[in-house]
Amino acid sequence: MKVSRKLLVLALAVSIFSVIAVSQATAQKTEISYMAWYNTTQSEADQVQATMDRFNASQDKIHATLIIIPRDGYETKVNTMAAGRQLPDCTELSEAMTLEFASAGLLADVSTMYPPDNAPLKSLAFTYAGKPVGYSSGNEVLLMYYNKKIFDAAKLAYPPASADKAWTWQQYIDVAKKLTKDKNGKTADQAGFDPKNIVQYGTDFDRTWWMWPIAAVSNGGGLMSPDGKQLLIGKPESIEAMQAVADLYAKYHVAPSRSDLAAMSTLDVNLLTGKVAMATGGQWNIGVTLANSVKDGLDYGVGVLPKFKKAVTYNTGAPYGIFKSTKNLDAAMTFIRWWADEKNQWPVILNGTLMPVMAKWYQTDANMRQWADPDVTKTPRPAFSMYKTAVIDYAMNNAVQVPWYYFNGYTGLNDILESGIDNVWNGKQTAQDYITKILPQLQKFFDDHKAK
Amino acid sequence: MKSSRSRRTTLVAYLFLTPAILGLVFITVLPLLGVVGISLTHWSGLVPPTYIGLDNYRDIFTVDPYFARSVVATLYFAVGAVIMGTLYAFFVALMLNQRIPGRGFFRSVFFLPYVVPSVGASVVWGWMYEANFGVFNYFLSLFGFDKVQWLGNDITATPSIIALTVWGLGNFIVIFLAGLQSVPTSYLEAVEIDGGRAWHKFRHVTLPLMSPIIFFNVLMSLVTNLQIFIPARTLTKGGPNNSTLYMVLLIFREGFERNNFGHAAAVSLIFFLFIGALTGLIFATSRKWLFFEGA
Repeated sequence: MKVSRKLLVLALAVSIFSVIAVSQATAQKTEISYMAWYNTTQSEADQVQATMDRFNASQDKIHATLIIIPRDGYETKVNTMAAGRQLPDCTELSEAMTLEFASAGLLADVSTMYPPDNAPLKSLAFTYAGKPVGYSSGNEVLLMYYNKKIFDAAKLAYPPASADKAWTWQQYIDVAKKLTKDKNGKTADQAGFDPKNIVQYGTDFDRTWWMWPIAAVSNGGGLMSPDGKQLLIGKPESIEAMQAVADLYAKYHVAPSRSDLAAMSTLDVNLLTGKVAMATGGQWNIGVTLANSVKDGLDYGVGVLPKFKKAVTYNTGAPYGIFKSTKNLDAAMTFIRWWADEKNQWPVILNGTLMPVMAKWYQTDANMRQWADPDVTKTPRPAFSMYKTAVIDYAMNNAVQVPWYYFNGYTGLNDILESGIDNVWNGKQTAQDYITKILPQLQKFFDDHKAK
Repeated sequence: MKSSRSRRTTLVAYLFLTPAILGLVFITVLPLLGVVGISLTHWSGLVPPTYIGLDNYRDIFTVDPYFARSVVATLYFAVGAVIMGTLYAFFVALMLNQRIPGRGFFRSVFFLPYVVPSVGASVVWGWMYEANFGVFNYFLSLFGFDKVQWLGNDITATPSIIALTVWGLGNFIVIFLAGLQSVPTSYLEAVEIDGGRAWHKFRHVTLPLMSPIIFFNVLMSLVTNLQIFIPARTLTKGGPNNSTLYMVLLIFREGFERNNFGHAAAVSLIFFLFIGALTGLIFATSRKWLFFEGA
């Protein structure tokens, strides 16, 4: 009896000791927090948590806690946390807020996060005062998607899949006219075409605020110069391109109006149902939307954007940032390196939502096929031969950064630009009149915010 | 000289008032003063504010491309919603004041929208307004009409939001109903004895006696509707073409999405004065059309 009591005491002592030892071991781990968003469903949040669990299981010195909130309202939440000095160690940032945070001195310089021989593409660095403050989580570009069956039925060649063969804007309009049909079956290039009863639009060139200016860049203009020092939207080339985008609806009736679009579905469904024959969209659509309609029989292709003077597209991608307020910069960098590593985001790369960020994935044919060849990935993606030239080569050779990579105040500038832009898109005002009217205000804002 | 008893009564009264006064001071007065202070600064919330005097106020009237159209959009909505809401609630209350079968049931039915959370109601109305599959366009299609993009078109967006707001006015119906029930039947009988008809009873007895209640409802409705936010935030995000960019949405967007807290504070103070002025105007004109029994 006495022996068993002693044994019991011993067992208790051992278990108490081991609990203390384990808790001390845990306590030795560096604690960091990471904030991220989920788009629509809780299951998406669960997937992010599962990735976080894998990180924690793989580390013996760092423990990371996930703060995950809905995408809608993310900026508001982070802003409030910043105002309350309650920021996490690192975070997923929206493109538009990144330089604003950097300019407030909140983001750490991440130039030492990667060794030079194994770093993300240079085009994916958000730069403030000459220093990188974040790298995009994916390499996204704007492309042209189309429904092959509609082109086949109209006996028209598919949109070109390489930048050197990009359509001119006029070729683009001509094809779009042939593909726009009214309810009587007449196309937009035929006499008696009824623009009030269109059942199939030839195209949609996305008029989202940061997307359409790529047309102006192609024409030798743009919103601003790539060094962020000169405002270009007032240049005749920019205005001409803006008018050309507006004319697709307002003059040629080959694209839906913005309010028509509000009543339409997602890109994949619009292509599948024949509402639109070809439409511009981001690379992410391959995984986010188009894959859904492939199941329903959508046979789509991908090409490059039409051009004015040069074939060009925008590249973008929401970055990860580390807050300067972190007490564990090294641990936060280790975490972001792990988190951004393609192998830890592999499912969303294989399904086409993200393109890799590290240069090595673009360097050899074998490396590219690992994530972009549907025969290897076993996911619904465009054929590798088409994707290679229309997406990978286009992204590597013809992409320029959206200004939010280098201009602090892009949202504010755009607030002025968008304030009455619907009148241009609706054809109630010319691009020339509109830009002339708001240019002094744009110029003042730009001068106040450009890098000194 | 006050007796100690009356002094004690006063003390007890203040004691009971203390929670309300504290609430008022900390939840209303101090934040309001804070807003005045913030409105004189440039403050992103990310770095400490810098004092800029009245620059935010000047910018609102000179460079802000959204303020003027936001005022117009808000007035359009508020006036529309007050007129339609008052007519609707008064008419329904008149009907529900009749001796009809199932009166209790119908009173509950018309009150119900008021207890539905407004975000939920907005989302459901958003589905009904949906252009392809929404129930409104379905009914239109039965009669051969084209689809209407209720919320996607700058002409129909605000009227669509007015309809959804008016639908939720169950509380106004109840207030009108209470007023109608307190109209003395002896007055109505007097009109009948003098040979008056239903219209005369309504025009010369019911309406004048109801005027203080109409006044109350119009005032409350105006103040509430000027602060419209939820449907615009959940359904239209201020669009299309800024047609539903109402003032509170503009303030929210400037402050919490654009990090211009100084500018947002200045807009909200102007908005505060704007509501005060409109309320004052209604009060000032009310003597001409208000009728108080015995006055």
